[in-house]
Amino acid sequence: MYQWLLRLIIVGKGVSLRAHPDPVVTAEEDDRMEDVPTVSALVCAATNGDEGAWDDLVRRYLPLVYSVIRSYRLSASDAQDVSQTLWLRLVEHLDAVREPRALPGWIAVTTKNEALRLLKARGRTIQVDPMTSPDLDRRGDSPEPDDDLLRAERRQMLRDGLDELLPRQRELLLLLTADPPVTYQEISRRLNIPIGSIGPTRARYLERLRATSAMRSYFAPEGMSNESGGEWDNAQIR
Amino acid sequence: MPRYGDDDELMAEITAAIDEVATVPPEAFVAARAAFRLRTVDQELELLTMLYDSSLEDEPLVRDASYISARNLTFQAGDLSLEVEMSGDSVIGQVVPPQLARIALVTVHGEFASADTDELGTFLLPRPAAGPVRLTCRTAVSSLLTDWISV
Repeated sequence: MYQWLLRLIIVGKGVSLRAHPDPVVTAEEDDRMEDVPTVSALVCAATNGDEGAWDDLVRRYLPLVYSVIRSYRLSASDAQDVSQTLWLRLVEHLDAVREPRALPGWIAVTTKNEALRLLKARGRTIQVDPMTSPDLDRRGDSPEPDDDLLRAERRQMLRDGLDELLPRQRELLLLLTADPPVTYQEISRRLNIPIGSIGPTRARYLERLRATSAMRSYFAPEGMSNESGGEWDNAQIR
Repeated sequence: MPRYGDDDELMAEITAAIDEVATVPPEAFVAARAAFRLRTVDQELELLTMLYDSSLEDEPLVRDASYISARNLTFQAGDLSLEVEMSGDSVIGQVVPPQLARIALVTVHGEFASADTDELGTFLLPRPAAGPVRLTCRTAVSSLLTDWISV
């Protein structure tokens, strides 16, 4: 699982996209989704010593960790220290994960705190001029105190959703976001679908993405929300 | 909160979400995986959780970076706590209530340094310049270790 994420991490975007043409595609097949092990199952397996499950958790959430780290101006080696500290801490607290849905929130908040700690330890406390700081301006506009964290969590949600899609569904969406862009001719050739149906297929796959449990549960109302913390809040695990 | 009802908007966010993956350094993946091998398997070891970290206090915005003082941390498990001050190249600390204990500073490569506390429970250890560290504390009756922190 999450092999496609690993490919993106190891070889970068662009070169990593290899199509897996599936010659016979019916609309019915389009409606299927990948049977992805739940976060609970991965956490449980990792707690019991399954290193493969741990690797899956790493593949899944490492981009989230780096997405948060990137908001701070840390050197590459400090960024790595923050990341490694996060994973070292998570592995010690796996058995305390009661609410896997709160895991991305915990990871985001803990990463942010570690990044702030290091910034201070380096004596590089963010120097802010309230008159000119775009950061403060933005906070003024936004009702959310942790805009960056929420954005990072939303992108995590999208990756989780992509992971639930069938490979060819994901492949099309990835090809359409590739940089440098892949032409429709090339996409048509790689995925073995007519150029004219790329647009409608994209629309259908995006609908599939919206229907994934990752996206549905993220936007689920009350009591099911994905706010940072939840049962597994910071106070409990620190 | 955006619900991504619009296809183009959703595609833009997918692009951003994927770009985040592509910029993760491969070394970070290796290090994160390796964390699994460093987990504590010894059930006898009790985890001291962090109660306080001065570096997370909301100080007034600091303009003079040289003003920043040592970092103080408090870890606790049951009625035993560990007060730690990280500064420059050393770690000064105290076991509370004061008692004799063996304190070790551990990095991902293993034990970095160790020392015995005096009658007041205080200790002094050198520390590495950077990287995740944790302390272990062996008293007459128990073995404890702290959460990892980056220094």
